[in-house]
Amino acid sequence: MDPLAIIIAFSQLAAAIALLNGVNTAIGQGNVASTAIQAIARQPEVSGSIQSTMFIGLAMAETSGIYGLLISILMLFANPLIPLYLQYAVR
Amino acid sequence: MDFNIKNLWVLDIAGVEVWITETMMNTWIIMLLLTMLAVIVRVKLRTFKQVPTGFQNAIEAIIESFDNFVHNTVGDKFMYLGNWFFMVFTFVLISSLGGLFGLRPPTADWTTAFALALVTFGMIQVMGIIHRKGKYLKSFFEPYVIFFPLNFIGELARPISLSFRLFGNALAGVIFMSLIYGLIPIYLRFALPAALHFYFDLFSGVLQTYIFCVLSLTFISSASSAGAP
Amino acid sequence: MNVGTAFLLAAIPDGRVFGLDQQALISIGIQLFNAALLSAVLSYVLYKPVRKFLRNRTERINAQLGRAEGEMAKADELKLQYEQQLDNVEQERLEILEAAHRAAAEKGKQMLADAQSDAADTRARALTDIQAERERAQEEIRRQIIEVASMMAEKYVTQAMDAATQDRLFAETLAELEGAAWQE
Repeated sequence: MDPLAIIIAFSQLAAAIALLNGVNTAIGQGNVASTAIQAIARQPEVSGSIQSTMFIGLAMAETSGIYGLLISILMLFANPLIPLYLQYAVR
Repeated sequence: MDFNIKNLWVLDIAGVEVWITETMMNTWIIMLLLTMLAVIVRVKLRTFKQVPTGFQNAIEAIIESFDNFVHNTVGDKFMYLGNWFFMVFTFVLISSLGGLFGLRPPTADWTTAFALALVTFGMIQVMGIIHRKGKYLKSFFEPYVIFFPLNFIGELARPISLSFRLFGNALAGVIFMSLIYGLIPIYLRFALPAALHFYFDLFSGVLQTYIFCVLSLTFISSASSAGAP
Repeated sequence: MNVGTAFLLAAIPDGRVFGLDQQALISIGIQLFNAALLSAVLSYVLYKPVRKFLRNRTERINAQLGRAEGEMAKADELKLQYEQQLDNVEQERLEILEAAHRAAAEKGKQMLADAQSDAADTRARALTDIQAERERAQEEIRRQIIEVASMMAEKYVTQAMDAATQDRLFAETLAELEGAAWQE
Protein backbone atom coordinates (compact mmCIF):
# COMPACT_ATOMS: atom_id res chain seq x y z
CA MET A 1 0.00 0.00 0.00
CA ASP A 2 1.11 3.52 -0.68
CA PRO A 3 2.65 4.93 2.52
CA LEU A 4 1.48 8.44 1.63
CA ALA A 5 -2.10 7.25 1.45
CA ILE A 6 -1.77 5.61 4.86
CA ILE A 7 -0.33 8.82 6.32
CA ILE A 8 -3.16 10.89 4.86
CA ALA A 9 -5.81 8.44 6.03
CA PHE A 10 -4.50 8.40 9.56
CA SER A 11 -4.22 12.17 9.52
CA GLN A 12 -7.91 12.37 8.67
CA LEU A 13 -8.69 9.95 11.49
CA ALA A 14 -6.55 12.01 13.88
CA ALA A 15 -8.43 15.15 12.84
CA ALA A 16 -11.75 13.45 13.55
CA ILE A 17 -10.57 12.21 16.94
CA ALA A 18 -9.24 15.65 17.83
CA LEU A 19 -12.62 17.13 17.06
CA LEU A 20 -14.23 14.68 19.49
CA ASN A 21 -13.30 16.95 22.39
CA GLY A 22 -16.07 19.16 21.09
CA VAL A 23 -18.36 16.84 23.09
CA ASN A 24 -16.82 17.91 26.38
CA THR A 25 -16.72 21.52 25.28
CA ALA A 26 -20.38 21.42 24.41
CA ILE A 27 -21.25 19.90 27.80
CA GLY A 28 -19.22 22.57 29.58
CA GLN A 29 -20.76 25.38 27.58
CA GLY A 30 -24.20 23.98 28.24
CA ASN A 31 -23.45 24.00 31.95
CA VAL A 32 -22.28 27.60 31.78
CA ALA A 33 -25.35 28.72 29.86
CA SER A 34 -27.82 26.83 32.07
CA THR A 35 -26.26 28.23 35.24
CA ALA A 36 -26.35 31.70 33.77
CA ILE A 37 -30.01 31.29 32.88
CA GLN A 38 -30.75 30.13 36.43
CA ALA A 39 -28.94 33.16 37.79
CA ILE A 40 -30.87 35.47 35.49
CA ALA A 41 -34.14 33.83 36.50
CA ARG A 42 -33.26 34.39 40.13
CA GLN A 43 -32.04 37.96 39.72
CA PRO A 44 -33.40 39.46 36.50
CA GLU A 45 -32.24 42.95 37.47
CA VAL A 46 -28.54 42.09 36.97
CA SER A 47 -29.08 40.15 33.74
CA GLY A 48 -26.76 42.50 31.83
CA SER A 49 -23.66 41.77 33.88
CA ILE A 50 -24.54 38.07 34.10
CA GLN A 51 -24.80 37.93 30.32
CA SER A 52 -21.43 39.53 29.70
CA THR A 53 -19.80 37.28 32.31
CA MET A 54 -21.52 34.31 30.68
CA PHE A 55 -20.06 35.22 27.29
CA ILE A 56 -16.58 35.43 28.77
CA GLY A 57 -17.12 32.10 30.49
CA LEU A 58 -18.37 30.54 27.28
CA ALA A 59 -15.32 31.80 25.43
CA MET A 60 -13.02 30.43 28.14
CA ALA A 61 -14.78 27.06 28.09
CA GLU A 62 -14.46 27.06 24.32
CA THR A 63 -10.66 27.17 24.55
CA SER A 64 -10.16 23.41 24.78
CA GLY A 65 -12.45 22.93 21.81
CA ILE A 66 -10.39 25.52 19.96
CA TYR A 67 -7.22 23.53 20.61
CA GLY A 68 -8.89 20.43 19.19
CA LEU A 69 -9.88 22.45 16.15
CA LEU A 70 -6.31 23.72 15.84
CA ILE A 71 -4.95 20.17 15.80
CA SER A 72 -7.51 18.97 13.29
CA ILE A 73 -6.85 21.94 11.02
CA LEU A 74 -3.12 21.21 11.25
CA MET A 75 -3.79 17.56 10.36
CA LEU A 76 -6.00 18.42 7.43
CA PHE A 77 -4.37 21.44 5.84
CA ALA A 78 -0.83 21.81 7.17
CA ASN A 79 0.15 18.24 7.97
CA PRO A 80 3.80 18.26 9.05
CA LEU A 81 4.11 14.50 8.41
CA ILE A 82 3.74 14.71 4.65
CA PRO A 83 6.81 16.91 4.01
CA LEU A 84 8.69 14.67 6.42
CA TYR A 85 7.68 11.58 4.45
CA LEU A 86 8.45 13.23 1.10
CA GLN A 87 11.89 14.22 2.35
CA TYR A 88 12.42 10.65 3.55
CA ALA A 89 11.14 9.10 0.31
CA VAL A 90 13.31 11.27 -1.92
CA ARG A 91 16.37 10.30 0.03
CA MET B 1 -16.35 22.83 -2.84
CA ASP B 2 -13.89 25.63 -2.94
CA PHE B 3 -12.91 27.05 0.37
CA ASN B 4 -9.24 27.63 -0.28
CA ILE B 5 -7.66 31.05 -0.05
CA LYS B 6 -6.85 31.78 -3.66
CA ASN B 7 -3.65 33.50 -4.64
CA LEU B 8 -4.29 36.40 -6.98
CA TRP B 9 -0.77 37.54 -7.80
CA VAL B 10 2.69 36.62 -6.75
CA LEU B 11 5.08 39.48 -6.23
CA ASP B 12 8.80 39.19 -6.14
CA ILE B 13 10.16 41.86 -3.81
CA ALA B 14 13.94 41.85 -3.52
CA GLY B 15 14.08 38.13 -4.10
CA VAL B 16 11.37 37.26 -1.63
CA GLU B 17 8.22 35.72 -3.02
CA VAL B 18 5.10 37.49 -1.72
CA TRP B 19 1.67 36.05 -2.36
CA ILE B 20 -1.11 38.54 -2.75
CA THR B 21 -4.06 36.46 -1.57
CA GLU B 22 -7.81 36.77 -1.73
CA THR B 23 -7.74 37.69 1.96
CA MET B 24 -5.68 40.79 1.32
CA MET B 25 -7.86 41.80 -1.59
CA ASN B 26 -11.00 41.46 0.54
CA THR B 27 -9.30 43.32 3.37
CA TRP B 28 -8.57 46.21 1.06
CA ILE B 29 -12.14 46.20 -0.22
CA ILE B 30 -13.43 46.37 3.36
CA MET B 31 -10.90 49.05 4.24
CA LEU B 32 -12.03 51.11 1.27
CA LEU B 33 -15.65 50.66 2.28
CA LEU B 34 -15.03 51.68 5.90
CA THR B 35 -12.86 54.62 4.91
CA MET B 36 -15.52 55.89 2.55
CA LEU B 37 -18.12 55.53 5.28
CA ALA B 38 -15.87 57.34 7.73
CA VAL B 39 -15.28 60.21 5.30
CA ILE B 40 -19.00 60.51 4.64
CA VAL B 41 -19.66 60.67 8.37
CA ARG B 42 -16.85 63.18 8.84
CA VAL B 43 -18.31 65.44 6.17
CA LYS B 44 -21.79 65.08 7.57
CA LEU B 45 -20.55 65.74 11.12
CA ARG B 46 -20.42 69.46 10.35
CA THR B 47 -24.15 69.47 9.75
CA PHE B 48 -24.94 67.34 12.77
CA LYS B 49 -27.66 68.82 14.87
CA GLN B 50 -28.33 68.99 18.58
CA VAL B 51 -31.23 66.60 18.33
CA PRO B 52 -30.21 63.62 16.19
CA THR B 53 -32.34 62.23 13.38
CA GLY B 54 -31.98 59.40 10.89
CA PHE B 55 -28.41 58.79 9.74
CA GLN B 56 -26.91 60.82 12.56
CA ASN B 57 -28.92 58.79 15.04
CA ALA B 58 -27.52 55.50 13.74
CA ILE B 59 -23.91 56.73 13.82
CA GLU B 60 -24.34 58.17 17.31
CA ALA B 61 -25.95 54.98 18.56
CA ILE B 62 -23.07 52.86 17.22
CA ILE B 63 -20.31 55.08 18.61
CA GLU B 64 -22.03 55.64 21.92
CA SER B 65 -22.84 51.99 22.54
CA PHE B 66 -19.27 51.05 21.64
CA ASP B 67 -18.00 53.73 24.00
CA ASN B 68 -20.17 52.39 26.79
CA PHE B 69 -19.02 48.86 26.03
CA VAL B 70 -15.33 49.84 26.34
CA HIS B 71 -16.09 51.87 29.43
CA ASN B 72 -17.90 48.99 31.12
CA THR B 73 -15.15 46.53 30.26
CA VAL B 74 -11.97 48.44 31.09
CA GLY B 75 -13.12 51.58 32.89
CA ASP B 76 -12.18 55.21 32.47
CA LYS B 77 -8.42 54.73 32.61
CA PHE B 78 -8.02 52.82 29.34
CA MET B 79 -10.51 54.65 27.14
CA TYR B 80 -7.75 55.26 24.57
CA LEU B 81 -7.77 51.53 23.79
CA GLY B 82 -11.09 52.25 22.15
CA ASN B 83 -9.30 53.71 19.13
CA TRP B 84 -7.79 50.34 18.20
CA PHE B 85 -10.71 48.20 19.26
CA PHE B 86 -13.20 50.33 17.37
CA MET B 87 -11.32 49.31 14.22
CA VAL B 88 -11.23 45.66 15.32
CA PHE B 89 -14.93 45.75 16.05
CA THR B 90 -16.04 47.33 12.78
CA PHE B 91 -13.55 45.40 10.66
CA VAL B 92 -14.39 41.95 12.04
CA LEU B 93 -18.09 42.73 11.98
CA ILE B 94 -18.08 43.96 8.38
CA SER B 95 -15.88 41.07 7.25
CA SER B 96 -18.30 38.60 8.86
CA LEU B 97 -21.22 40.32 7.17
CA GLY B 98 -19.27 40.28 3.91
CA GLY B 99 -20.00 36.56 3.77
CA LEU B 100 -23.57 37.52 2.92
CA PHE B 101 -22.37 39.05 -0.33
CA GLY B 102 -20.12 36.15 -1.28
CA LEU B 103 -16.98 37.89 -0.08
CA ARG B 104 -14.67 35.43 1.63
CA PRO B 105 -14.25 36.89 5.16
CA PRO B 106 -10.65 37.99 5.80
CA THR B 107 -11.05 36.59 9.32
CA ALA B 108 -11.41 33.13 7.76
CA ASP B 109 -7.69 33.39 7.13
CA TRP B 110 -5.58 32.60 10.16
CA THR B 111 -3.07 35.34 9.31
CA THR B 112 -5.66 38.11 9.76
CA ALA B 113 -6.96 36.70 13.02
CA PHE B 114 -3.44 36.18 14.31
CA ALA B 115 -2.38 39.69 13.32
CA LEU B 116 -5.24 41.09 15.42
CA ALA B 117 -4.52 38.71 18.30
CA LEU B 118 -0.83 39.57 18.14
CA VAL B 119 -1.63 43.22 18.76
CA THR B 120 -3.71 42.19 21.76
CA PHE B 121 -0.82 40.09 23.01
CA GLY B 122 1.59 43.01 22.60
CA MET B 123 -0.85 45.31 24.40
CA ILE B 124 -1.16 42.86 27.29
CA GLN B 125 2.61 42.74 27.79
CA VAL B 126 3.20 46.47 27.30
CA MET B 127 0.33 47.56 29.51
CA GLY B 128 1.31 45.05 32.19
CA ILE B 129 4.88 46.30 32.27
CA ILE B 130 3.90 49.98 32.14
CA HIS B 131 1.24 49.83 34.82
CA ARG B 132 2.57 47.17 37.17
CA LYS B 133 6.31 47.18 36.37
CA GLY B 134 8.15 44.48 38.34
CA LYS B 135 5.01 43.01 39.79
CA TYR B 136 3.83 41.99 36.34
CA LEU B 137 7.07 40.12 35.57
CA LYS B 138 6.97 38.59 39.02
CA SER B 139 3.49 37.24 38.36
CA PHE B 140 5.05 34.75 35.93
CA PHE B 141 6.85 33.09 38.84
CA GLU B 142 3.81 32.69 41.01
CA PRO B 143 2.94 30.83 43.11
CA TYR B 144 6.39 29.16 42.90
CA VAL B 145 9.39 29.63 40.66
CA ILE B 146 8.94 26.20 39.06
CA PHE B 147 5.61 27.33 37.66
CA PHE B 148 7.37 29.65 35.24
CA PRO B 149 7.18 27.34 32.16
CA LEU B 150 3.49 26.73 32.79
CA ASN B 151 2.72 30.44 33.13
CA PHE B 152 4.88 31.27 30.13
CA ILE B 153 3.15 28.73 27.88
CA GLY B 154 -0.22 29.89 29.20
CA GLU B 155 0.71 33.43 28.24
CA LEU B 156 1.81 32.33 24.76
CA ALA B 157 -1.39 30.33 24.34
CA ARG B 158 -3.49 33.45 24.69
CA PRO B 159 -3.02 34.95 21.22
CA ILE B 160 -3.21 31.46 19.71
CA SER B 161 -6.52 30.60 21.34
CA LEU B 162 -7.81 34.10 20.65
CA SER B 163 -6.93 33.92 16.96
CA PHE B 164 -8.08 30.33 16.49
CA ARG B 165 -11.39 31.11 18.12
CA LEU B 166 -12.10 33.79 15.54
CA PHE B 167 -10.52 31.90 12.66
CA GLY B 168 -12.18 28.59 13.53
CA ASN B 169 -15.65 30.09 13.66
CA ALA B 170 -15.24 32.04 10.44
CA LEU B 171 -13.63 29.07 8.64
CA ALA B 172 -16.38 26.74 9.88
CA GLY B 173 -18.90 29.11 8.34
CA VAL B 174 -17.01 29.26 5.05
CA ILE B 175 -16.52 25.47 4.81
CA PHE B 176 -20.09 24.74 5.78
CA MET B 177 -21.54 27.21 3.32
CA SER B 178 -19.37 26.01 0.45
CA LEU B 179 -20.28 22.39 1.24
CA ILE B 180 -23.98 23.29 1.25
CA TYR B 181 -23.66 25.21 -2.00
CA GLY B 182 -21.84 22.22 -3.51
CA LEU B 183 -24.44 19.74 -2.30
CA ILE B 184 -27.79 21.28 -3.14
CA PRO B 185 -29.08 21.58 -6.70
CA ILE B 186 -28.88 24.94 -8.34
CA TYR B 187 -32.63 25.72 -8.26
CA LEU B 188 -32.65 25.44 -4.43
CA ARG B 189 -29.84 27.91 -3.91
CA PHE B 190 -32.11 30.90 -3.45
CA ALA B 191 -34.07 30.15 -0.29
CA LEU B 192 -32.42 27.37 1.68
CA PRO B 193 -28.98 28.87 2.42
CA ALA B 194 -30.54 32.04 3.78
CA ALA B 195 -31.13 30.49 7.21
CA LEU B 196 -27.58 29.13 7.33
CA HIS B 197 -26.21 32.49 6.21
CA PHE B 198 -28.18 34.04 9.00
CA TYR B 199 -26.58 31.74 11.56
CA PHE B 200 -22.99 31.54 10.27
CA ASP B 201 -22.54 35.09 9.02
CA LEU B 202 -24.82 37.24 11.13
CA PHE B 203 -25.21 35.51 14.49
CA SER B 204 -21.83 33.82 14.76
CA GLY B 205 -20.05 36.80 13.24
CA VAL B 206 -21.54 39.31 15.67
CA LEU B 207 -20.98 36.98 18.63
CA GLN B 208 -17.36 36.27 17.74
CA THR B 209 -16.68 39.96 17.19
CA TYR B 210 -18.08 40.73 20.61
CA ILE B 211 -16.15 37.89 22.26
CA PHE B 212 -12.88 38.87 20.60
CA CYS B 213 -13.19 42.45 21.83
CA VAL B 214 -14.39 41.51 25.32
CA LEU B 215 -11.66 38.94 25.84
CA SER B 216 -8.92 41.24 24.57
CA LEU B 217 -10.06 44.13 26.74
CA THR B 218 -10.48 41.88 29.77
CA PHE B 219 -7.01 40.41 29.34
CA ILE B 220 -5.47 43.86 28.97
CA SER B 221 -7.27 45.42 31.90
CA SER B 222 -6.55 42.48 34.18
CA ALA B 223 -2.87 42.43 33.18
CA SER B 224 -2.51 46.14 33.89
CA SER B 225 -4.27 45.99 37.26
CA ALA B 226 -3.77 43.63 40.15
CA GLY B 227 -5.30 40.16 40.29
CA ALA B 228 -4.49 38.78 36.83
CA PRO B 229 -6.39 35.58 36.01
CA MET C 1 18.44 38.39 -8.63
CA ASN C 2 18.33 42.12 -9.01
CA VAL C 3 17.87 43.64 -5.59
CA GLY C 4 15.33 46.37 -4.91
CA THR C 5 12.85 45.53 -7.60
CA ALA C 6 9.33 44.18 -7.46
CA PHE C 7 7.61 42.41 -10.31
CA LEU C 8 4.83 39.97 -10.94
CA LEU C 9 5.63 36.33 -11.31
CA ALA C 10 3.83 34.35 -13.93
CA ALA C 11 3.42 31.13 -11.93
CA ILE C 12 0.68 31.40 -9.33
CA PRO C 13 0.67 28.63 -6.70
CA ASP C 14 -2.54 26.88 -5.69
CA GLY C 15 -4.65 28.28 -2.87
CA ARG C 16 -4.71 26.77 0.59
CA VAL C 17 -6.61 27.06 3.84
CA PHE C 18 -3.92 27.07 6.45
CA GLY C 19 -0.18 26.90 6.46
CA LEU C 20 2.72 27.71 8.71
CA ASP C 21 5.58 28.94 6.60
CA GLN C 22 7.27 32.07 5.35
CA GLN C 23 4.19 33.13 3.39
CA ALA C 24 2.08 33.02 6.56
CA LEU C 25 4.56 35.33 8.29
CA ILE C 26 4.54 37.72 5.35
CA SER C 27 0.74 37.65 5.30
CA ILE C 28 0.62 38.39 9.03
CA GLY C 29 2.92 41.35 8.48
CA ILE C 30 0.80 42.72 5.65
CA GLN C 31 -2.42 42.24 7.61
CA LEU C 32 -0.88 43.97 10.64
CA PHE C 33 0.02 46.92 8.45
CA ASN C 34 -3.49 46.97 6.98
CA ALA C 35 -5.05 46.83 10.42
CA ALA C 36 -2.85 49.63 11.75
CA LEU C 37 -3.64 51.79 8.73
CA LEU C 38 -7.36 51.16 9.02
CA SER C 39 -7.24 51.81 12.75
CA ALA C 40 -5.47 55.12 12.27
CA VAL C 41 -7.86 56.22 9.53
CA LEU C 42 -10.99 55.17 11.41
CA SER C 43 -9.97 56.66 14.72
CA TYR C 44 -8.90 60.00 13.23
CA VAL C 45 -11.69 60.37 10.73
CA LEU C 46 -14.63 58.72 12.43
CA TYR C 47 -14.22 57.71 16.04
CA LYS C 48 -12.53 60.67 17.66
CA PRO C 49 -14.52 63.48 16.01
CA VAL C 50 -17.84 61.80 16.70
CA ARG C 51 -16.80 61.12 20.29
CA LYS C 52 -15.72 64.72 20.66
CA PHE C 53 -19.01 65.88 19.22
CA LEU C 54 -20.94 63.65 21.60
CA ARG C 55 -18.91 64.74 24.59
CA ASN C 56 -19.27 68.41 23.70
CA ARG C 57 -22.97 67.99 23.44
CA THR C 58 -23.14 66.14 26.74
CA GLU C 59 -21.13 68.92 28.37
CA ARG C 60 -23.34 71.58 26.87
CA ILE C 61 -26.47 69.85 28.09
CA ASN C 62 -24.90 69.39 31.51
CA ALA C 63 -24.00 73.07 31.62
CA GLN C 64 -27.57 73.98 30.72
CA LEU C 65 -28.84 71.66 33.39
CA GLY C 66 -26.48 73.26 35.90
CA ARG C 67 -27.62 76.73 34.94
CA ALA C 68 -31.27 75.74 35.28
CA GLU C 69 -30.51 74.23 38.66
CA GLY C 70 -28.85 77.46 39.82
CA GLU C 71 -31.86 79.48 38.72
CA MET C 72 -34.11 77.05 40.50
CA ALA C 73 -32.09 77.50 43.70
CA LYS C 74 -32.31 81.26 43.34
CA ALA C 75 -36.06 81.12 42.89
CA ASP C 76 -36.35 78.86 45.90
CA GLU C 77 -34.39 81.35 47.97
CA LEU C 78 -36.64 84.18 46.83
CA LYS C 79 -39.69 82.14 47.66
CA LEU C 80 -38.33 81.46 51.14
CA GLN C 81 -37.70 85.14 51.64
CA TYR C 82 -41.24 86.06 50.63
CA GLU C 83 -42.66 83.43 52.87
CA GLN C 84 -40.67 84.82 55.75
CA GLN C 85 -41.96 88.29 54.99
CA LEU C 86 -45.49 86.98 54.93
CA ASP C 87 -44.90 85.39 58.30
CA ASN C 88 -43.60 88.69 59.64
CA VAL C 89 -46.68 90.51 58.41
CA GLU C 90 -48.92 88.07 60.20
CA GLN C 91 -46.99 88.51 63.41
CA GLU C 92 -47.13 92.26 63.13
CA ARG C 93 -50.86 92.13 62.64
CA LEU C 94 -51.22 90.00 65.74
CA GLU C 95 -49.05 92.40 67.71
CA ILE C 96 -51.04 95.43 66.64
CA LEU C 97 -54.28 93.69 67.48
CA GLU C 98 -53.03 92.76 70.89
CA ALA C 99 -51.78 96.24 71.59
CA ALA C 100 -55.14 97.66 70.62
CA HIS C 101 -56.90 95.18 72.84
CA ARG C 102 -54.65 96.07 75.71
CA ALA C 103 -55.13 99.80 75.23
CA ALA C 104 -58.88 99.42 75.02
CA ALA C 105 -58.98 97.35 78.18
CA GLU C 106 -56.85 99.89 80.00
CA LYS C 107 -59.01 102.76 78.90
CA GLY C 108 -62.13 100.96 79.96
CA LYS C 109 -60.63 100.29 83.34
CA GLN C 110 -59.64 103.92 83.65
CA MET C 111 -63.09 105.10 82.74
CA LEU C 112 -64.62 102.69 85.19
CA ALA C 113 -62.33 103.95 87.93
CA ASP C 114 -63.20 107.57 87.05
CA ALA C 115 -66.88 106.86 87.14
CA GLN C 116 -66.54 105.08 90.44
CA SER C 117 -64.63 107.97 92.00
CA ASP C 118 -67.21 110.41 90.59
CA ALA C 119 -70.00 108.41 92.09
CA ALA C 120 -68.20 108.29 95.42
CA ASP C 121 -67.73 112.06 95.33
CA THR C 122 -71.34 112.68 94.54
CA ARG C 123 -72.45 110.37 97.28
CA ALA C 124 -70.15 112.04 99.77
CA ARG C 125 -71.45 115.45 98.77
CA ALA C 126 -75.02 114.27 99.05
CA LEU C 127 -74.29 112.88 102.50
CA THR C 128 -72.78 116.21 103.55
CA ASP C 129 -75.80 118.06 102.18
CA ILE C 130 -78.17 115.82 104.04
CA GLN C 131 -76.26 116.39 107.26
CA ALA C 132 -76.31 120.14 106.77
CA GLU C 133 -80.04 120.05 105.99
CA ARG C 134 -80.76 118.05 109.04
CA GLU C 135 -78.77 120.39 111.22
CA ARG C 136 -80.55 123.30 109.70
CA ALA C 137 -83.96 121.65 110.37
CA GLN C 138 -83.01 120.95 113.99
CA GLU C 139 -81.93 124.51 114.45
CA GLU C 140 -85.20 125.76 112.98
CA ILE C 141 -87.33 123.47 115.09
CA ARG C 142 -85.49 124.54 118.19
CA ARG C 143 -86.01 128.15 117.33
CA GLN C 144 -89.71 127.56 116.70
CA ILE C 145 -90.04 125.69 120.01
CA ILE C 146 -88.27 128.56 121.73
CA GLU C 147 -90.62 131.00 120.01
CA VAL C 148 -93.73 129.02 120.96
CA ALA C 149 -92.50 128.62 124.53
CA SER C 150 -91.73 132.30 124.83
CA MET C 151 -95.15 133.16 123.38
CA MET C 152 -96.86 130.83 125.87
CA ALA C 153 -94.79 132.26 128.68
CA GLU C 154 -95.60 135.80 127.62
CA LYS C 155 -99.36 135.05 127.63
CA TYR C 156 -99.16 133.41 131.05
CA VAL C 157 -97.07 136.17 132.39
CA THR C 158 -99.41 138.87 131.20
CA GLN C 159 -102.39 137.11 132.82
CA ALA C 160 -101.13 136.08 136.24
CA MET C 161 -97.87 137.37 137.27
CA ASP C 162 -96.51 140.34 138.95
CA ALA C 163 -93.28 141.87 138.07
CA ALA C 164 -91.22 140.05 140.66
CA THR C 165 -92.57 136.60 139.87
CA GLN C 166 -92.22 137.35 136.23
CA ASP C 167 -88.63 138.09 136.54
CA ARG C 168 -88.03 134.96 138.63
CA LEU C 169 -89.95 132.71 136.29
CA PHE C 170 -88.30 134.18 133.26
CA ALA C 171 -84.92 133.50 134.66
CA GLU C 172 -85.91 129.94 135.64
CA THR C 173 -87.31 129.05 132.20
CA LEU C 174 -84.39 130.44 130.42
CA ALA C 175 -82.04 128.42 132.55
CA GLU C 176 -84.09 125.32 131.88
CA LEU C 177 -84.13 125.92 128.14
CA GLU C 178 -80.49 126.39 128.08
CA GLY C 179 -79.90 123.22 130.01
CA ALA C 180 -82.23 121.12 127.77
CA ALA C 181 -80.68 118.44 125.65
CA TRP C 182 -81.98 119.21 122.15
CA GLN C 183 -79.03 118.06 120.48
CA GLU C 184 -78.66 114.41 119.93
